[in-house]
Amino acid sequence: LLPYLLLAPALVLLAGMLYPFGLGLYYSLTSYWLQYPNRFRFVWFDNYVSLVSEPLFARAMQFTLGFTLVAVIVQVGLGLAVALFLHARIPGRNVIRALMLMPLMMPPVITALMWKIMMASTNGGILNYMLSFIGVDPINWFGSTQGAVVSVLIIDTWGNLPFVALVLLGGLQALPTEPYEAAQVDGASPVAMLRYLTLPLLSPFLVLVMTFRTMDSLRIFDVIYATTAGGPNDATTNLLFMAYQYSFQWYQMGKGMAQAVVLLLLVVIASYLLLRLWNRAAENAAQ
Amino acid sequence: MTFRPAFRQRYLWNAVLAAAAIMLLVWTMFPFLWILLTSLKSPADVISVPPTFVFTPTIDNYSALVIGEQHGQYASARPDFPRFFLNSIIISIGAVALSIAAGIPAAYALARYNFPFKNVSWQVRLLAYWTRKTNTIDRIKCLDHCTYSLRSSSDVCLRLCKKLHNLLRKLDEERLALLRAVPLVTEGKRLICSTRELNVVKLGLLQRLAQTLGILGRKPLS
Repeated sequence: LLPYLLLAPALVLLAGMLYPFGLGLYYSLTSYWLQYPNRFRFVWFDNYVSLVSEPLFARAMQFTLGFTLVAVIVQVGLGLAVALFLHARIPGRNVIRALMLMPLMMPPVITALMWKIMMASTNGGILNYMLSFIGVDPINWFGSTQGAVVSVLIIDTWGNLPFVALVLLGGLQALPTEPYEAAQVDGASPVAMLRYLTLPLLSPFLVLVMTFRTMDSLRIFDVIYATTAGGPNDATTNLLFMAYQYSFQWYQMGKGMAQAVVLLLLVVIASYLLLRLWNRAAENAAQ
Repeated sequence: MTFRPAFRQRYLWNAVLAAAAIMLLVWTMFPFLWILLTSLKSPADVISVPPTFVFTPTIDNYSALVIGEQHGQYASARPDFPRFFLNSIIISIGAVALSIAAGIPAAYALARYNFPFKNVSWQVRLLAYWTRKTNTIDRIKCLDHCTYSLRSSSDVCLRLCKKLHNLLRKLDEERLALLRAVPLVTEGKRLICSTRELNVVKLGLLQRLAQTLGILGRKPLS
């Protein structure tokens, strides 16, 4: 009985978490619309079916998946480069490491606002001003559809690169040294060592960090909310933002919840697949 | 003469490393620098075209947070900054206290006892992590805080277990043998330790963390 007693507070909190979750699940099956309380009915999967014919849903899905793919590739790639760089013996390494971690301490909304100020396209935002020195025409950061997507990607990368680099750096430091000594004796080139030693040994960490970044990129909200608010022309509306708009701007709770549930399924499937990959990578690396 | 290419190569390599370091620092630090500068600017300097790096600094923006607007620069009323500050403190202390209060006994129970449905509760905790952000849409703020603290407590448990696991794998044979003398509870892939072992490992863990963060250098803690 004692273990259950010890677990009780956590289970109470868990119930507090599962209750709104269950409520959301229930609302996704109803025609809950705040403006029309009289029309509240249980409609089974009507909300889900209507999503299929909803053009915004297709675009939001496209943006969510595309953004996640690009963001994970860019951030893990750059993060690996930064981690390898910070792992090398360079003067002032510890100072650079400490400074590099600073974006991690920023709340995402503040990060987004910071960049929004710097990316002002009119009245000479600092970024366009600096780019003009190397002959780049002013970029319409948040005003054009492609520009907004790239801007969100840049801001997200700035905020999350330290996390990726930190995890991979921890992984690099935990690698065994014997294979490297053996490779050195055999006269392997640094590139070969990176390709045939570091990457395979590091693969559990790579997959782990990819899992985290995939989950977080699929449900990115703060940056979009603080900068583009889904625009322009819904170019940066992802599933979560669309669910937010439906629920709290258009008050169609039922549809909004249905979108949130679809997003949840997406996140669960993606993370399940990645965690399975992680188990396999960890087993391979341990051998 | 044979060493010359290698010599030049090393110079080139150092130059590349230095350039990378500068690029990394500019990329990371410039936004902070620019926001700091902006916070010290008067409204006219903020919107100046082109942007200026040279201006007369002012602390009006900061004093406005505490004592309100002095020159009526903005249309909005004075933000109740102390109150916002207090809110942050209440929320962070509350969330930490709640998660520790619920997390410690739960972690102890999961580590020390075997009971039916034990694995189920681990899975449910993972589900809690998955649903965290999708659920922030629910406007039930109070419940949301509970979710958040639960998420972080299970997160801490998982991470601690993983760290201990990695650390134990890395320990040299001698200390490993020493640790093996103390009974370990191994459960699948998770490796959970008693408090005694925790104390043995904690020192190394702290040191390792400090090294990873690079803040304390490579000096061993004592």
